[in-house]
Amino acid sequence: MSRAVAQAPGETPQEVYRAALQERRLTFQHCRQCGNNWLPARTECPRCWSDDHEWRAASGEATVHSWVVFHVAFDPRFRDRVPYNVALVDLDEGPRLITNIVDLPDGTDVVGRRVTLVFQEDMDRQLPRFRLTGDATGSG
Amino acid sequence: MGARAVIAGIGQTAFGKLPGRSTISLNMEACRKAVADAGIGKDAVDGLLVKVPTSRVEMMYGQTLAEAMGLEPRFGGVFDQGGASNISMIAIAAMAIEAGQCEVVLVSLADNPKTGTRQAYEKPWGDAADFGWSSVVAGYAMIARRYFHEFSGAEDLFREIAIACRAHGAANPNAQLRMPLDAGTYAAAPWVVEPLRRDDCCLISDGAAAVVVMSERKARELGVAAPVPVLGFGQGNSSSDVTLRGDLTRTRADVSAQTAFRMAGLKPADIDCAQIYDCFTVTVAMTLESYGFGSREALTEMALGGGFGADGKLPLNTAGGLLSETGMPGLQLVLEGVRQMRGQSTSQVKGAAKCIVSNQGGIMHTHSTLILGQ
Repeated sequence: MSRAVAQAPGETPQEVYRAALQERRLTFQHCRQCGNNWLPARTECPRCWSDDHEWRAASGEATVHSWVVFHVAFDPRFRDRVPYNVALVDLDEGPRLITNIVDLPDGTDVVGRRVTLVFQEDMDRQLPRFRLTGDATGSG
Repeated sequence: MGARAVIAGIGQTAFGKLPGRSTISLNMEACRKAVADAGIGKDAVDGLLVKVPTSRVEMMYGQTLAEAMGLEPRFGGVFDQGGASNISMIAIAAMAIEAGQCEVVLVSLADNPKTGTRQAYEKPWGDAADFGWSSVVAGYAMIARRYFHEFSGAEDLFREIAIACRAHGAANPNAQLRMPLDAGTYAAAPWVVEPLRRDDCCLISDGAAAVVVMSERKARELGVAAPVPVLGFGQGNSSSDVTLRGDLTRTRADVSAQTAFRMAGLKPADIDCAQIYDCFTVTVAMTLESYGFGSREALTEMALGGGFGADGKLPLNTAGGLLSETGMPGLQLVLEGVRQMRGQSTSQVKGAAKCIVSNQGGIMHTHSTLILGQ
C-alpha cells in the first residue's frame, strides 16, 4: 500500500522538494521499483536507476550522523552568525540531510543523538531544522 | 623487459603567491623544467595530459595548453577527478604508452587560487547553502567529527601528522611554509570548521608541477639519466557526496591501494616512505588505515613514537605535503616520491627503494595510488 503524499508543485524534483518545505512538510523520494528512500532530490533512484518514484512524508524523527561548527563564514550571509553549527542527520526512513541543530549545547558530542524536526522561517524560506530529544541511541 | 613505465623527468615552479602568472604560464614553466630534467627535447613529446586548474575551470584546457606549447599531441586532454587526477593521468599515460598510442607523455598541473579565485574551495553547496553549508573544509570537518566520535585518539594522530609534515616542510627550501609546528601551537590555533583547526588544513597556493612519463625502453633509447620506475597504480572512487555515503570514515582508497599493491607485487610492509595527500590531517589518517599501514590505534602509537619522521618506521610527506610544501592539489607528492627514489630529498630516507603516493579529490570522492621504485 502506497504512503505517497500529494506532490507539491514544481518542474524538477528539487523544486518539488522546496515547495513542500514551504508548506512546512519534509518529504523524501521513494522508489516504486526497489523501495529505496533518498534525498537530496533527483530524477532517478541512485540504487536501481528507475525514474519511477513517489514523494513520502518524513516522520521528522532522526539521528545525528555528524556535525560541525563553522568559525569562519565562507558564505558572507553568515558573517554575523559565527560560530554556527551544521549537522548531517539520518531520517528514520533512511535519507540523510544537511540541517542545523537548534539549541545545540556547548561542548557535547551529539553524534548518535536523537533529534526531531522543527521548521523555522529563515533565509526567506521554511528551513527544516532539528532539536535534540532526550534519548541517545549510543553509537549512532 | 623495458615495457614498464618510468618517470623520466620532473619539474616545478616556486610555490606560494605568484602574481601576474596565468596557469598556462605556470604549466609551461613546470613542463620546460621536466623536459630539461629528463634530458629530452620538446619534439620527443607526443602526449600531454593536464589537470584543470581549480582557479579557472574551462573547456578544452588541454588544447589551450598544447597550443601555447606549440604541440600537436597524438594523445592529449584533461582528465578530471579533482586532486586524484594527477596520479590517474600518470596511470593513463602508462597504459596509453603500453597500448602504442604515444611514447612520451607530459603530465602537468598548475593552479593559482592564491592570487586568483578560491571559489572552488569556499563555495556554498546548492540547496543546503541556506543552512550555512559551504566550503571544502566543512565537508572534511563532517568526516573528521565522525572519526573523532569513533576513535578517542584522533586528536593525537591528527596533531602528529601535522607536526611531521611541517617538520619536513621546514627542511625543504622550496616549501611555502617553513615554520615547524609544536603541540602547544597546534592546540592553541583557532578552529576553522570545528573539529578542524588551522593547522589541520592545507595551504592555499599558486604553482605548478609536471612529470615526463615514458617506457623504460624509451628512456634507455633517449639516454634519460635518472628514470624512476612506476611499479604499480590503482584507483577507487567513492563518488557520492557525504549526504549519500553510507560510512563517512571509509572511502575506496582501500581498493585503490590493493590494485596498486597487486600490480607491483608488493605489500604495505615493503614500503619505505609515503607521500600521502594531506589536504586535511583526517585524510592522511584515513588513507594510511585504508592502505593497510595499521589500525587507528597502531598508527597513533607509531606517530607518537616519531614514526612519521625521515628516520621513522613510515616516513611521511618528506617535502612537507599540502600542509607545508604547497597546497597545490597533488602532483608535488609524486615529485617528492621521485626525489626519494633518486636519493635527492631534503629529508632523504636512508636506503629508500619503494615509495607509495596517494592523490584524492573532492571531499574524498576520488582516490588514486602510485607506487614508485628504483
